[in-house]
Order: sequence, then structure tokens, then C-alpha cells
Amino acid sequence: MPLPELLSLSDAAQLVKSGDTLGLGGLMMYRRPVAFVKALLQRPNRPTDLTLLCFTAGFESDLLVGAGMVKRVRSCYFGLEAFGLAPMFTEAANAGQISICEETEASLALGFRATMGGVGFMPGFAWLGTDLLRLRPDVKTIQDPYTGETLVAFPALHCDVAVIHAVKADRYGNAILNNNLGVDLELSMIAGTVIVTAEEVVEKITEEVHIPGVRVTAVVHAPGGAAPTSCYPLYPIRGFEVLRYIDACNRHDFVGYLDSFLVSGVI
Amino acid sequence: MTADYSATEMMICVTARIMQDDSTAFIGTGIPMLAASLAQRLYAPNLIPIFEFGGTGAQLEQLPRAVGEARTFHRAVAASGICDIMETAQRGFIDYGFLGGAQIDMYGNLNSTVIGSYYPPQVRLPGSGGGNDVGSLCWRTISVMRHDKRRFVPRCDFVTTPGYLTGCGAREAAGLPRNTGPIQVISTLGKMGFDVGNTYRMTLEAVFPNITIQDIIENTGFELLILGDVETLDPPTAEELRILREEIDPDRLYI
Repeated sequence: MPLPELLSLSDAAQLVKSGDTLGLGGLMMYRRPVAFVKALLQRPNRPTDLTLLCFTAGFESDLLVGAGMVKRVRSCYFGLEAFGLAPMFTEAANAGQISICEETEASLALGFRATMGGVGFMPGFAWLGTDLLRLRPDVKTIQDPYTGETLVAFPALHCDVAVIHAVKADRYGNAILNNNLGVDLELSMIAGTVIVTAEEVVEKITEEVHIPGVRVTAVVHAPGGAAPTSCYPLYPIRGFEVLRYIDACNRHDFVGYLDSFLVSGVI
Repeated sequence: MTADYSATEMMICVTARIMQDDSTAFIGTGIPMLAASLAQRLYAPNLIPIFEFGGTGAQLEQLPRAVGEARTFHRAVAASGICDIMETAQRGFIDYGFLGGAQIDMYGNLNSTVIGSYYPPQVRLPGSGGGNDVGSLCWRTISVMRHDKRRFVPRCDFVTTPGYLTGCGAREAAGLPRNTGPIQVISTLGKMGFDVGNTYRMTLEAVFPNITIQDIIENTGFELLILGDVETLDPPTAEELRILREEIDPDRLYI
């Protein structure tokens, strides 16, 4: 395996092409690759028509939706948790301006497992009897060949570029995430291109790693790269920044917020 | 005399009181987190809270601000990931699931996807999260939500999370695991159950102090069955309130 490249944020951001499925690691309001998203937004030729594959989508994804770069969202939750709805996603969805591929935690988890196992689907019991199957005609039911039970065949998931923010990474792409893993390991296994942004980059990690470097394409040094989301144990959620964002959107001033965010960063 | 506590505090206390010791419970964000923390201190010291993002068996000494935050792993027995948690639920290892939603109907189905038609929606909500999966895969589910007519509706605009679907036998007919489903709804006005084994509709079991049966009927968008005596629940104890206000949520994020 070739060694991963050590790249700057702006060079790593060039690895995303228009039309790609972009997987953003971390979850809810922790360890989101916000610095990478900022670098994408700073590209003179911003990629468009992205499909966002987020287990849960939050602040980082809302910026991309607000900037008009996202065509389709594939997630089980899009919101800001205790802070409420994600304003730009909600506005786009209410206006019918964004395509939403409904998922749940089980459909995403089993879809990851299917891709990791190299099979087309993974069966499960979720979704039966609800409106989700009606909305997703691509998701089919099957009969268990052994018991005859009805199961839902959750399709394997595809991801072009995954970005994971780590506490520490090394020259070989190995990364430490702390123990709140979410689906970051799975994401690193299924994506074609894997970018690890890290608070600290060292020559070689000697402790136990959470992401093995073998599938990592690029390593980026990005201190503070998850803010305003949290990065345990280094920094907590910066709630005031999230509130500043929500206030700006409520005043219909997403553009003003984005300008200040791109110039000054998190205040 | 007006009682010195809020409906939210009462809702948290009632939820904590029904949490079973030595059980595994899938804890969703918000009120269930506070209730689990209170239950661990007073009623169910061996409650094993399971958070969807991987924390299993955490001691909830401080209120997690998010379901994946470090506090959901504090002194936990395991830190895995979402795929493991989903498979654990599907194997039948999670006894109770504590859920919320924007709408609930008489069969305990929940909506957290859209208000109005799906496309275009009147209001887009954040989505299922783990809601569907908890309602499908845990043995018993308990919903915790505000009580008003906009939330307690005859039929959910969108069924995100299965309750008893259309009634007797519907879960099994759809292929969901047998002997599973909602058992309780804790609201800001009272405690509801389900007519399991018969109609599978929501029933009124108990009212909060200073709330009448009529109050509940007027705030419910469908006919609640009343099958037996409706008891009046005890208000929060001084100790419940002290722990809630001083130890669990001193910043008053939720209460």
C-alpha cells in the first residue's frame, strides 16, 4: 500500500468532485470535520450536486446545504440536537428543493455492514409496517430461506469520499478517535477516498488505533478542526457559535454568517 | 396551593419511576436521559442505559448534552459503535426503548419525519434517527412527549416508528418480532398504556396531580380508552426535585 499523502486542507478539499457522495464522519455535534467543510466552501470552484452521506447530519452539513452544494441527503437525522432544527436544511426541505433519501440507524448500519462484507444487502427487521418502505421502493423485502420470515434487505451503501476528524493521526494514516466511534471505522472501510483530518499529526502512533491507516488516502493537520462541534477530550461544543449561526439564519442572513465564518472562523 | 414543580419535571420523575432495575434500556436524547440519570440514583441503580452511538452501561453522573457525547460513555461497560448497538437490539438484548416524536396516534405509532404530506411537507422534521429501529427491535417501548391535540393525533401524518400499526396482529403480520411493542406513554398530563391482547389502543392509566381526566380528553385528538380506575400519581418528591435541579440539570437545559 502506498503511504497516504500529507496534504493541506485546501489540497485535500480538491479531492471532492461535483456529483460525489461525500461521507462526513463524527456524529451529531461531536467530531464533525468542520475545518474540511470550510475548505470546501473556500474552493473557488465549489463542488456541486453532492450527495451527503451522514449517519446524522448537523451544523457542517447545513453549511453545505445553505451554500447550494448539496443535491441529495442520505441520512437518518438532520438537525442540531438540543439546539433544534438545522435551519438551511429545513428551509430547503420545506420548499422541496432538496432530495432526501430517508434512512434510519439500522438501514445505514446494515448498509455499511453489507458493503464491508462485499454483498449487495444485509437483512434486518426494521422498517416493517411503516411508511418508510413506501417512500423507498428501492428497498425490498425478502424471505429468510431458512425460517420463511419476512426481512428487509437493506442495500449496500456507496461512498466516494469520506472525511473523518481524529484526535491524533500518524504518517501512515492510523488514527485515534477516542472511544466515541460512531460509524467512523465503517465509513473508512467503505469509501473510495478516505481523508483523515487530525488535531495532531505524529510520525508514528504507538498506542491502540481506531482507524487503521491501510485505507487512508490523505492525512491533514487541522487543529481545532471540529469546532464548533466538540472533540473530546480537547474541547467541548461551542454552543454560542451554533446559536450565532441559528440567529443569522433566522434573520435570513446565511450569506452574512458564511462570509464571517470563512474569514474569521469560529468566534 | 400551587405545586412548586413543572410538568416537565413531573414527566421526568414518572419516567424514572417506571425504569426497571437490572434492565437494558435504549435511551434517546432529551427527557429520557434525565429520567435515566434520576432512576440510576434513586430507583434502578443497575439500569444499563444504552446510547445509540455506542455507550453501554454508563453511569450518568452528569447530564449528557448529546447522545454521543463523552458523558454517555462515563464509566461505561462497553464503548462500541452504532452497528453493534443496532445488531444488539436486533438480537433481542434491549429490554426497553425510550422514545419521543412529534406525533403519536392511538396505536402508539410515532412520526418524526414530516408534518403534512410527505412532498412537499408542511414542516420537515429531523427524521427517524434511531426511532424506527428502537420501535422495531426493542422488546418494549415507552414514549415520552408533551400532551396536546397537535401531538396526540388520530393518525400520524407519517409513520416513522411502528407502534401497534393498525391494531391487533398488525405488528406480527408486518413481520416485526413477536411480543414486542409500546407499553406506556408518559406525557405532560398523565400516564397512558395500551389495551394489549385486545384492541391494542391507547388507554388512560393515571393523571398527574391537579390534572383531571377531562383535561386529558380535551388535549387528546382521539378517543382514549378508560378500562379501569384512573389513579392520580404522586407529585415529585423533595428528593427527586433536589437531585434533578442540583445534580442532574443544574444549568436548567431541560427543566
